[in-house]
Amino acid sequence: MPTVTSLESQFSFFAFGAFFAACLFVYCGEEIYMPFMFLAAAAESAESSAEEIIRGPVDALGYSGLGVLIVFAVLLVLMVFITVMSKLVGLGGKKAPAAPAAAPAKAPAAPASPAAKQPAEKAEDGAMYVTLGGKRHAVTVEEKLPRFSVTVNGKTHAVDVEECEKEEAEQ
Amino acid sequence: MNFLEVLKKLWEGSGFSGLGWQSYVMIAIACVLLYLGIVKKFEPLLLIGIAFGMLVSNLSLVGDNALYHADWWVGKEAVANGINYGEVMRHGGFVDILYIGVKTGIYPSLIFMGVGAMTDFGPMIANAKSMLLGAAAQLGVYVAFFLAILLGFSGSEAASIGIIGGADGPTAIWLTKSLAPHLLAPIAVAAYSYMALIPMIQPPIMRLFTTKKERSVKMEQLRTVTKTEKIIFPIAVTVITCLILPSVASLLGCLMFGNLLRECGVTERLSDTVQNALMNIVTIFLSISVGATAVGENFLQLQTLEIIGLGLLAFCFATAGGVIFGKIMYYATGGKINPLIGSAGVSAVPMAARVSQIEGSKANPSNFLLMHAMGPNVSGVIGSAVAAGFLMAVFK
Repeated sequence: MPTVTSLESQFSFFAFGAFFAACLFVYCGEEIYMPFMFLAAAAESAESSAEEIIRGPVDALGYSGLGVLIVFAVLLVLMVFITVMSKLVGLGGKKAPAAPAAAPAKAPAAPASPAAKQPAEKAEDGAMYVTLGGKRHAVTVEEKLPRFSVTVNGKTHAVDVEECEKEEAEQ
Repeated sequence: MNFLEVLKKLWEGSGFSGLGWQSYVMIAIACVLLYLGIVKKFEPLLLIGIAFGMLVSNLSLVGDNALYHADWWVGKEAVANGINYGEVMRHGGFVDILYIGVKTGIYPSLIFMGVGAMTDFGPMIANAKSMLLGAAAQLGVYVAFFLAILLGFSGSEAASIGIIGGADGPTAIWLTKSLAPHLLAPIAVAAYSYMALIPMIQPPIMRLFTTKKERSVKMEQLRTVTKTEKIIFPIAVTVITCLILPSVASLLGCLMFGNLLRECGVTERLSDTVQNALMNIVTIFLSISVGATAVGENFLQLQTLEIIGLGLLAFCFATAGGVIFGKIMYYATGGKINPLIGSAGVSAVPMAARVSQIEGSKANPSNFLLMHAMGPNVSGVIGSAVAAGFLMAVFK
């Protein structure tokens, strides 16, 4: 299966938005153009009550459809803006920095127990390391409390703080 | 005045003489809500205030002791000539005074400011496509609106009922206080109750519309979002949304102002105040005043049951809309998006995102969807505000 790139997927959503806009245009051009008429009527006659605007289920359906389209349109505009802003700022599409591939050669001696978990320590170069089963691994930690992810050698693991706290309390 | 007359006067002045059967039922309902809030921890920060407001207002309904005068706000004279705020200030009860904040829309806007200050829009900025899920989940609003019209509610009432599907209490209150103030109590109670019940309502619908393979999808780690992007975002959203839908300016403007205080990095004190002190104070005022509007005569009607039923349907359709659109995105991206994050498009932050995380990890224990679900979740806040703004523009 071919891989879909970020640009392609973004394009597909822009195309989806364009399709929506086209549908709206055709919708308005056809005989069923009531939603915009309702809006215009609502704007023109402020004194007319809301009950007069909705004259039956067909009106309600028209308003519902228009409401969905407007929500999509506004969020689509925001989505396009965010995408463009990210590109302009120059960071759009960049992934979070990956963990360093290998542990440094001068790793300290490993603890005796094979599966002992050690708290992450900060090395001189600023990277984080964790010693697992006697081997020292470079890690990146992304905090998303109460859960956060730890990337060890390119593999991301979810850590649940609440669960850890429960386990600690039980111990 | 003899002894018996004094006793009679004391009795007539007591709360007992003014209590009808509706008052007793409302007191029982208030106690149930207090139980749900305290023991079951269903949205306790709001539900306890609402329940206590309901309890107090139904205990003292007579004369000068009344805390809340429903006629002043939703009576025929108020509807015809407008609210007499002078009368409210001179002779109003405690809740009447607090209710001014609801009626003028100040509390929901201030709550939104606090929500903005507490929300990290980073996951949404990192994955802008997730905004579409926030839009899709607003389907519930319009389905409930349509069904309410079929049940015979007026356009304004149906709009207020529909917004329950936005799963956003302040937005529901903001819209209802303008369009259908007489329905404020049942709509607020329904909105907050269902928000608390999201972990029970959503999972069956999420499983109904997805396969195990889809639920197991592990999503790529989100990119880092820079401080510049986070600062530009609230300013730009305010400009764009207020230009498109000016009616929603007070809600989204406050949401984005709160977020700007958080992200700009030079207003920590203000951000801290908005997130904590202001938010807590407004929550107390809002919950008590909304709860106190649930006076027996207005609340115990068939339409309250209809509103509660429609609210449930709105939540179900909102969840389904988000999940179905998530499936569309799953196929459009070649299986890169887990459809479960779509259900988080209802704006109950962060409850709905947590439900996505839990369901995702059930299908695949190494799955980590929380931050991916936060994107649609916070865009749902914007989406529900836009939906409310549209309904306000049409029906006010």
